[in-house]
Amino acid sequence: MIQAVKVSLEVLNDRLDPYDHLEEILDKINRWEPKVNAYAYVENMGKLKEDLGRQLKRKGRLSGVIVAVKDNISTSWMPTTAASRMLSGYIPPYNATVIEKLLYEGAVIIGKTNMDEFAMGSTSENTPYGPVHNPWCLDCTAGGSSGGSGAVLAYGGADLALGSDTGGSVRLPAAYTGTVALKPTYGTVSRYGLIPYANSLEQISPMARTVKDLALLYNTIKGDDPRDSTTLGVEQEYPIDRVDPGKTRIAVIRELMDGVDEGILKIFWNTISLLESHGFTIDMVSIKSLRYSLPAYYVIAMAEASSNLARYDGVIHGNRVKECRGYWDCAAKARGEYFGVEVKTRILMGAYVLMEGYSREYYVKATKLRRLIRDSLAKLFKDYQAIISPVSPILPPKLGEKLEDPVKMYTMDVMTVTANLAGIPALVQPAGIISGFPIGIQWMGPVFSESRLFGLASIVEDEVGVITPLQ
Amino acid sequence: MGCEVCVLTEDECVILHKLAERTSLYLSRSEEIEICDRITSIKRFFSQLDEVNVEDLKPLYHVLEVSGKTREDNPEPFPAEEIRRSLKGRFRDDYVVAPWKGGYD
Repeated sequence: MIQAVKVSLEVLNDRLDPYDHLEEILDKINRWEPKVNAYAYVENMGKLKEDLGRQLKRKGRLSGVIVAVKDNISTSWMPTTAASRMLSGYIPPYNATVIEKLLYEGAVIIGKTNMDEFAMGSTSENTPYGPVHNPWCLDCTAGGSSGGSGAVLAYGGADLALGSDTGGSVRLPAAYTGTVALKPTYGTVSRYGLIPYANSLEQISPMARTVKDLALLYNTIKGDDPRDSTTLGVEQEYPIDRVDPGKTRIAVIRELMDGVDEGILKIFWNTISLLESHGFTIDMVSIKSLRYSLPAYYVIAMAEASSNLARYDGVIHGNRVKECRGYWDCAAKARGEYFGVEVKTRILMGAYVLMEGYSREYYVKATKLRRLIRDSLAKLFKDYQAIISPVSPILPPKLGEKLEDPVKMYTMDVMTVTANLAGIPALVQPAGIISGFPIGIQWMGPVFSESRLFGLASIVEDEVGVITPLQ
Repeated sequence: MGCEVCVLTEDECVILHKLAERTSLYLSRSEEIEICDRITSIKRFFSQLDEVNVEDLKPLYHVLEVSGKTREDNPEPFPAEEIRRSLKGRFRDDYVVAPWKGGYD
């Protein structure tokens, strides 16, 4: 399948019929979706052809490129429900800034991808649309919460996809579906139009099948936005760096290697050998505070979720219940009726860790740990240019396996939450296949080091190859 | 919330009742049992934080450590013409029609 970076070029030079390209993708959707359930909504063929005709006139760098968008990113002409019954039928009155940027460059938005409700989950099972199945193993999860975006790319149901990453939500699906994803430096991509879950942690994040495509999508959506006060006001391009192995020291962090599946470790150490053969220096280091990054992350995420989701009262925001009397009754019934169990749990726990008498023990302590983690990493990056680690300690679990005990599900994020706590970029790419499962590795670097991460990932990709789309 | 169905103490159970009330969450009986178990498990998980001493550190609420950054206030008529065009047919008396039972009737 043609890479996204080539679609626009080929289309604009009349070497690729964009309508044939669209039909090829729709054909894959028709073939795979009954088994995978990765889309929450797909636009109809007539409207897509109309959109394509209009977008081709733009002659942008994404002319004719087909993009799938996670269902928590606002689109003014398609439903945006964050996979919640609270927002079923909701069509936002405006586009997210990232959507405006995609449209400006000529992209066609094909549909909205399935996800965990309000992005709360690591398996893409907490969704009223039904679970996302991993195209590599239909009984397994595709990771979460952007599992739909990962699965769509894995079977070729779009050229590029957007997800959002609060604690690993694009990186875990990328690792489990053999695709690539970037959690950008906090503040480099506008969150305007993203249905919020945990503001200080989350970023809209690009996903693709190749590193070049990933860089293309990131460079399209990044940039300052007057509508999002947390964007950094930095306007720079992030090309793929040519990384000099002689000047690049890479760290492996001991605390991110605990309890990792043997198959995953095998691929990881093969990748380390590969990098050493290219002349990179790789050292094992220890950052003890990372042992606590997972509980610290979940305390902060739940506290912010509790605050963010307070707006859904079934009166001003969100769907109403049929029978209720007065504001409080309507709000409690709407929230009781339309939120799923995971969302309710996080709202309650978020309120709990913020309560007077408990906040010092939980929330304040977690934010102090966050400082310790951020500062420890900043110190590490004075001596090392990048960190490499596995993405998840386990292979994709079977559907339903992790739902019973929430903490079991949370441990799937143990290697990814650190980047969100510290605001640093993190890139995941496939590094091999074992027992029929793709295995991902994760790169992390200091803030604004996206170009370097693209460069490092390109070296691995050149050796390993691109493993999707599946046939 | 049924205090007898999970391992939370009586005090904690009262707190959770209060939390459900404060967060405006109506919980069915089966959800009470399920959420109670989940909360017990999460509290145990959070107790890992007891092992670390961070007394001397300042909290970091936001990784950017910026405050008071706001955009310039340039009032515009609502809704902007562009939005009005994109929402054609969803206005009544100059107000956007909110969804009702998944539709816009």
